[in-house]
Amino acid sequence: MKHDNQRDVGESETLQACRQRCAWLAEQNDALETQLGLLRMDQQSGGHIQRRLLPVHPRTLNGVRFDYWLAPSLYLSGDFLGYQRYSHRYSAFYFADVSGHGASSAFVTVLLKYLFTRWLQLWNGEHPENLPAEWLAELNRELQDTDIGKYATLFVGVIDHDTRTLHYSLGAQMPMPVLTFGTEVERLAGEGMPVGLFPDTAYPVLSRSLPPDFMLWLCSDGVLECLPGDTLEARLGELEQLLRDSTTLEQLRDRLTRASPSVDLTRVPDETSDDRQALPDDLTIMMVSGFGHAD
Amino acid sequence: MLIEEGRIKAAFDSGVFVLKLSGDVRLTLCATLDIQAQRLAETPGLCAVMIDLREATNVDSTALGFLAKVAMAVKNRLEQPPTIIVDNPDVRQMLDVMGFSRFFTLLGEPLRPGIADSAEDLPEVLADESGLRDRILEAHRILMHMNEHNREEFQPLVSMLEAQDSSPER
Repeated sequence: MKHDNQRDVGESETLQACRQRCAWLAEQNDALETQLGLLRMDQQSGGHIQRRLLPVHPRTLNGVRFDYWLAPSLYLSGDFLGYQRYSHRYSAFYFADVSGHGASSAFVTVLLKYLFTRWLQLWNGEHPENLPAEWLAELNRELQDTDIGKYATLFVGVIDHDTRTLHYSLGAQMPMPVLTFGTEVERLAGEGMPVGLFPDTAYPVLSRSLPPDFMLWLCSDGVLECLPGDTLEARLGELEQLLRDSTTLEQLRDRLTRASPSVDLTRVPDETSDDRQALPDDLTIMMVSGFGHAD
Repeated sequence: MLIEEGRIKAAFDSGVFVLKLSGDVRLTLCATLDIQAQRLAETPGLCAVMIDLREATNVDSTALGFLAKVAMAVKNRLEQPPTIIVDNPDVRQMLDVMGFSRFFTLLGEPLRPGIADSAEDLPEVLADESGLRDRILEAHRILMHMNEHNREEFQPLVSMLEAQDSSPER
């Protein structure tokens, strides 16, 4: 009898411990759910701000039309872009993919926007061909100096609407920007170092004349995860094929959805939605087309 | 989102530091790389740095950023720039685009075979407190999505516990 009693006491103690553990877990669960709700709201409001910082789209500047589609991997994006009219002759734009994704990268995109706007205001309107490369060198210094361990791949362009020329520079843009006109598909030439990764970097000064009916496509590297193909080159080829057949962003998005083997793009809401289907990486596509669009 | 966990191994032998990355190396491991970059630069007797990417299928932007940090951290301490061994054409192309050839010697195979084989697993360093919290939250999010299912799954156990709870003391 004594032995049985001891066993009963032992069992009851174990049961007691189990109950306490269950109660503790339930409490922790409640606390975490509350925390998660707060964090989500925090991220969502951050996402709202970031979207407000993006330019209105589509937008036509001096007969050239700018449009984009941006799908963050979560709420905040490390992809960012902007375009602005400088004068009746010039307009400028940039397209950036900050390393990593989420909040830390999103902070850098705010810095980009500020610097882009400020440097365009400071420009005296001379030597447009040098402007993109100078911007990138300056931005490289800024990011190096802040020492936040973030860098960006970046494309900066200035369109001279009088001479119909694109002056540009780039830092490790991947995939390369693609120019399409008629049935032609052309990767823009040039290569440059990523921005903010290495000190004292110079960037290439490049120009390309723009055909009367051109489309310039810029994609962040998130697009590569949505394309079929075993090698990078195969996926880039696939992308160029899709671009050749597309004349609008919507068309490209539809074709990408059909081509995508692993990512269901139809379930990815655009930047106006709060409900997120997580993508492996931020995905952004920008399209610049002209000339002759009504402002 | 994590797709496949990558791994980092490190070894230090006769002044040569070897860092070996394998699999799909993504953000979660960046704390390891960061600490490694700092430690590496301060290693006494350091003569050479070698990074082996032959088993890496993907190196994400943050990991690349930290490799660049390694190069910068050891830049004035070594006679030769650090070496990267890479044979995957996609990873190589990425390194080329990122301008790594300016700060690294890029090779298809090591000059001294066997040196990279001595690398041992680094103890995994937790990303940081907020990183850990993110992982816990993620686990919770998944649990919450499974809530209904969970309840059903654990119902028999709960019932049993409740039954035992209310049963009179013997």
